[in-house]
Amino acid sequence: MKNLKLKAARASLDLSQEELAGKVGVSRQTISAIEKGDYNPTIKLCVAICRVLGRTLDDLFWEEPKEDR
Amino acid sequence: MDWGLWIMIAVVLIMIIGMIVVSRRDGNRAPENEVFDERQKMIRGDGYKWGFVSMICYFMIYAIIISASGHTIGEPELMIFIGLEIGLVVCAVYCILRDALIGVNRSFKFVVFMDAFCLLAQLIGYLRERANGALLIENGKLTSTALPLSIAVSFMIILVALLVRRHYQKREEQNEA
Repeated sequence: MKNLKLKAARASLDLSQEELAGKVGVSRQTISAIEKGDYNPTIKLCVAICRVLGRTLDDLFWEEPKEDR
Repeated sequence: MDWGLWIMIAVVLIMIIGMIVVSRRDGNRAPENEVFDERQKMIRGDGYKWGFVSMICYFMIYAIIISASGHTIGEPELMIFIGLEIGLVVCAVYCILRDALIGVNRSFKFVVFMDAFCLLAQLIGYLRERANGALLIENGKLTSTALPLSIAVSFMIILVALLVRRHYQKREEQNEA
């Protein structure tokens, strides 16, 4: 599942994937993979991203469970 | 003194000078020790696994063919080395296609330069052996002359994979911008 919250938070600070990647010490492709939902980051990386973007883990990584109909 | 020795010395010198020049130019961007992030480490683990599996499969097939027919298509040392190359190439291509071969902040150009250099060095070695009259096939079997050629092919595959992946990365970056 795509992480649009992360993408929006990054864009709101006018940061590119490359810049965010540099600040948290990972490759640009890793940030891209997280945003696309292709990679589930460890809690350590989630916290690092949250710190850089000034958000909480809930803001960026918590998904509300979908209700079955 | 044999020309071959001078060529080898020249190749080593060019390699060392090239490494110094490229590493100095990229010194501000490249960390002292290559660092892979958590996603890359995970993918590299998978890459090693697939490289190992490919190598095992190759040697199993090779052993079955020899035991069944009693013949081999090449000299034993060549066939063993080809098995090792297959494992390494599978691992490298797997990592390249998932952006895990080149570490964080590592220069793409440096890796391409090294790959192209090794490719050229092996090709020169192969052509030199052929020029000296070495046969590629003798008594219906590939000789060890094919070794530098097979290594060159391995580096060529890796180079193509690097360039193709780079092409897609640039497209991704343009879409992101």
